[in-house]
Amino acid sequence: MNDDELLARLRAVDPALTKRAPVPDIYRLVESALNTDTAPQSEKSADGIATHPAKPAAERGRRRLLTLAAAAALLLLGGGIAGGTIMTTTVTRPRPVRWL
Amino acid sequence: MTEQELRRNRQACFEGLARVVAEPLHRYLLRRTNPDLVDDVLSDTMLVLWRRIDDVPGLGAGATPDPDDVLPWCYGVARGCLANARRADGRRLRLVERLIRTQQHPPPTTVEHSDLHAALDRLGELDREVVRLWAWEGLAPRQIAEATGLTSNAVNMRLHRVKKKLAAQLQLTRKNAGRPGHKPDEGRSSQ
Repeated sequence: MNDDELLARLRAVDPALTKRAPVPDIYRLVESALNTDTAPQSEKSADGIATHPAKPAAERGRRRLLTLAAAAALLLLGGGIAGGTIMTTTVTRPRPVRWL
Repeated sequence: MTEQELRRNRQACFEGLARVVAEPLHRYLLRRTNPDLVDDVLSDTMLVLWRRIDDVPGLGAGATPDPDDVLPWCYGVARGCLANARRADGRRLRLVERLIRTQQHPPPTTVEHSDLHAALDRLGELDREVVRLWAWEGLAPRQIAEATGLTSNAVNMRLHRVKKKLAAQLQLTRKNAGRPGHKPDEGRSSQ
């Protein structure tokens, strides 16, 4: 089977040919995009230099994540030290002498 | 140029772009998901295009851009929006799609091409997307690379491999169908 035959077979099963859906209302799509977000992402200033706005929400999220990770690390470290101390005292404590 | 004029220019660009890409994007989504989701994803895609109107390649000052220049990039955006919608709504969407598939009686053409559907299903996600972009959207390898984020070289190799694989599978099915009374699992020992 050559490329043309394969292409013909694939085009015969194109779902866009068989599925019936109304054609999109371009005017409505444009209006809704323009009204939902009035500012394009990379605003160009009058002299053509692109200015990218800061992302305060992402920055805040990252900082919060870092704080959480630090707290978790501290907790783990504290737990490890406490566990280690208990183990050491259990191992080194002398057995009570039994007098028979 | 004042801020207002800039905005008006950008709006004019977007309107020109929308006129060129809205219908092909609608067809692109219709080929890949159920019709209920198409409108929502198309709206998301148009919103992303408006937000990134300055990044659209091939969008000059002219009122009507060339579809060959702008469409591959826009397909890439639609692909991303569709993936986001699937991720966000995954389980429910998969269930709805499965229900729709089981409820619908397959049209005669589907039965006729069941071997092709089976061969397409057996491909990996990216291979399937590459071959669909080639066959259904009619893109050249360079444009497929732009839509998928792969390199042109990678697309060429992948497309060549996938075409060979599909042709071999279809050939095999045809050969098996030619043998009277033979089923694919026949003649195999259970041990």
